[in-house]
Amino acid sequence: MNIENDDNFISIDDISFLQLSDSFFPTGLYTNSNGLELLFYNKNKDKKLTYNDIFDFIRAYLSQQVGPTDCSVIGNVYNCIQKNNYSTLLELDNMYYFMRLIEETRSASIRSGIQLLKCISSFTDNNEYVNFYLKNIKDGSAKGVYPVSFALSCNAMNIKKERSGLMLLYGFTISVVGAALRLGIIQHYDGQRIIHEMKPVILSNVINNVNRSYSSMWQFIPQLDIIQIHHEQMDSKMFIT
Amino acid sequence: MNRWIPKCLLLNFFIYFSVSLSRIPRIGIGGPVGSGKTMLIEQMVPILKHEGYDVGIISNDVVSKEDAERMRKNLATEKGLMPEDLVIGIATGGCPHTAVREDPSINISVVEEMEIKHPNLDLIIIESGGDNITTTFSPALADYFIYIIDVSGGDKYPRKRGLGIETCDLLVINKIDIASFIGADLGVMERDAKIIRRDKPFVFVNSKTGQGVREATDYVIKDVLFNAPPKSKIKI
Amino acid sequence: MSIYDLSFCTPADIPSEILEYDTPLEQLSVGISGKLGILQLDLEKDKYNNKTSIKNQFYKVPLCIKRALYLEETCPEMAYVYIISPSGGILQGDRYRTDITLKKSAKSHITTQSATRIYKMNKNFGTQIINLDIDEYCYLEYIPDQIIPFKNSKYYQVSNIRVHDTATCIYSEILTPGRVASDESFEYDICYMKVKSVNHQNKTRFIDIAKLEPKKENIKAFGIMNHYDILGNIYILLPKSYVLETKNEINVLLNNLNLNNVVGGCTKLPDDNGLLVRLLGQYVFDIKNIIYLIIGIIRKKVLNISFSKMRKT
Ligand SMILES: Nc1nc2c(ncn2[C@@H]2O[C@H](COP(=O)(O)OP(=O)(O)O)[C@@H](O)[C@H]2O)c(=O)[nH]1
Ligand SMILES: [Mg+2]
Repeated sequence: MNIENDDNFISIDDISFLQLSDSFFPTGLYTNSNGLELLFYNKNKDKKLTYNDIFDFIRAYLSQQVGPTDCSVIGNVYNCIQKNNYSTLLELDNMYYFMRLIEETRSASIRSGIQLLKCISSFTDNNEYVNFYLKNIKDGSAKGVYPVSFALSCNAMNIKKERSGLMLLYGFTISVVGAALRLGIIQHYDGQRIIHEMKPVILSNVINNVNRSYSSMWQFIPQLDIIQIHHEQMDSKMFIT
Repeated sequence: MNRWIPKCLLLNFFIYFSVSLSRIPRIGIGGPVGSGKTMLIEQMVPILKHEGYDVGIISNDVVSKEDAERMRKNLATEKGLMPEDLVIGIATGGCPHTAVREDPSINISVVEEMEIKHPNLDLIIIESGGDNITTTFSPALADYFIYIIDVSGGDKYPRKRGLGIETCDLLVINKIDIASFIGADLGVMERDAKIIRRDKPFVFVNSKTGQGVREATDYVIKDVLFNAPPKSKIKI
Repeated sequence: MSIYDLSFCTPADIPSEILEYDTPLEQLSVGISGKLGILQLDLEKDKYNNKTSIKNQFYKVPLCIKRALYLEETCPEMAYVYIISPSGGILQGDRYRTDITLKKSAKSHITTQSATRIYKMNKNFGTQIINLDIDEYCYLEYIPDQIIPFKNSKYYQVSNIRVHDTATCIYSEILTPGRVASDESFEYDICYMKVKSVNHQNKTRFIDIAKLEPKKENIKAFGIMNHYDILGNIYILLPKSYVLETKNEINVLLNNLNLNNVVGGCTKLPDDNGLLVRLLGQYVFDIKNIIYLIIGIIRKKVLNISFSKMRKT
């Protein structure tokens, strides 16, 4: 089914790459602002949030958490698949879950993870890793965290490891940009410019972290953690995280 | 390539089966902001409870916690009709229609968590965040769709149509008590509703007093629960 | 040969970012070779006088302790233990290991006598292992002074906290930007801190792994530390039944602090395994005060005693 022409090579897998990267893909990411909503209400008291604030916000997440944990999980899931290592797959799920220290983001990760897997399994060929993970979630021996589900879904659609990492970081970026747009912090051209200017950050974080061993995953965003905890306590909110 | 199809079908069968075994009937309630979605739920639940049905509620109202808090206080804390963890509020990121229509994944995950935690529920009610008249519920999320409008917009509704009014399983026209104050003619609304709804039902309701709510609830018991006895009354 | 050798004191899983500095030290020249610091401490409640006392102890300088003190009048059985490091801190090549166990409903407050300085390092790195094992119905506050990573220092710390589901442990960390008096701020090479907790059946309770490399990543960027200098972490492992109420009380405290330039929040750890408090501030003093206020909340909740005041000898 491939149309091959030396350098020009396109395939069904490229379309799958587009499908899973699309914000249209139903995983509920549009309900997350990752704490931006809190910042919006807090900062508005004295000073308006700016384009640069949104950029720094996303960059801090990508290089200090999503890169060194989520993206590293993606790489490790692919390594497990390559080595047929089912037990490490469950260990990754467990480790990521117990590293997600803020209640709100932890439950959001699991909800999106499980729904993503169910959606994928409804139309892909019987993928043994997806089935294995779904079965373990059902039995209670796995949690269903988002990056593990995401990597397994990408793998089930023949998407390569590094690309899967790019998609995850890209997806994170657009979900925050989407929240910023809906909160009226930036306008639609700004949103696309942030995404454009974030590309080198996304790329370097995938390159630096997709081959990181899972024993050396880390995260360090104390200020964002506190923002997220304060969001968790808000009385009325538009976003889940 | 030949073997792919039966394998895939088998899997879908498995998923369908494992889901349908534990699936609790769900109704979705949609309608404009302030039309009385929350209040209708607050009136229906005691009637359902009186008939022995146990209900869980998920509210997607825009500023989430408020409605959920109100219902939790009213139905769970004060009236003791249900445990507090059976009233859940979910924020929808400013996309109330998306959350019940094209990407209902978050609502579905909360429904499924409820099904696992409370397998003996008879019914789950999902209140959508207030939205415009094009709201509909994804069939993956709700088995039955109630759309509620109120008379305060004038008697041009339901004539003006809209996806919700036309396609819902039950149309509820609320706040009939104030019709005379704003010059809305209930007769006109009834005539138009009959034309637009054809043989699908609609009811006039006053959610403040409960007038008409019994009739609306009977539709739910008949068309969603199929007059099944409450799970708590089934002896094993 | 003693079991207390280099491998006993060296963490098993040293991350690659730390191993990059793994250049050998010249073992012959005194003062450059790293030291092994060991502290082992078993605390138990004495069945005759009901006081928590030291049942076993072993140490090897540069780590040592004084005898236990009983300082809290509202809880006279609680043993206060001060960990002392005569060398004043961790030098290149140093490998410290502390093992503390609490059994038989022991209650203890353990702290350090002074800040942990991570000295300037030309070669290699310093590490510290802290193993806490807290048995049924025991109660431990492990509240060391702040960590001060000097210019060009390289530090790796692993804390393994094993807490029985019925027991309570408060474990805190305070990290400073360096020797502020000498105008040093975030000039160290690396500070890597791992905290892992399990219950008595070795089921994970939480994992927190922080890596700071100020020369590679701007720690003062928005979202990381921003304009704050001091980081405080408090991990509270306590029986599940206390979790929700305690969380709310701590958040009320944190939201009503009348302190300039301090922010913090408390959230539930996975599976209701306890609580995490993160704090950012300008002064060690502020962070310490909040830690003591939180200790006060936990003491009231778990031990039903009030907290007189903190005493340092
Ligand atoms: N007069 C009158 N007021 C009603 C009726 N039903 C609801 N309301 C009021 O309309 C307002 C909005 O109701 P609510 O249930 O919160 O609407 P929702 O936004 O659709 O959930 C509230 O102030 C209710 O008290 C009704 O039948 N008659
Ligand atoms: Mg409502």
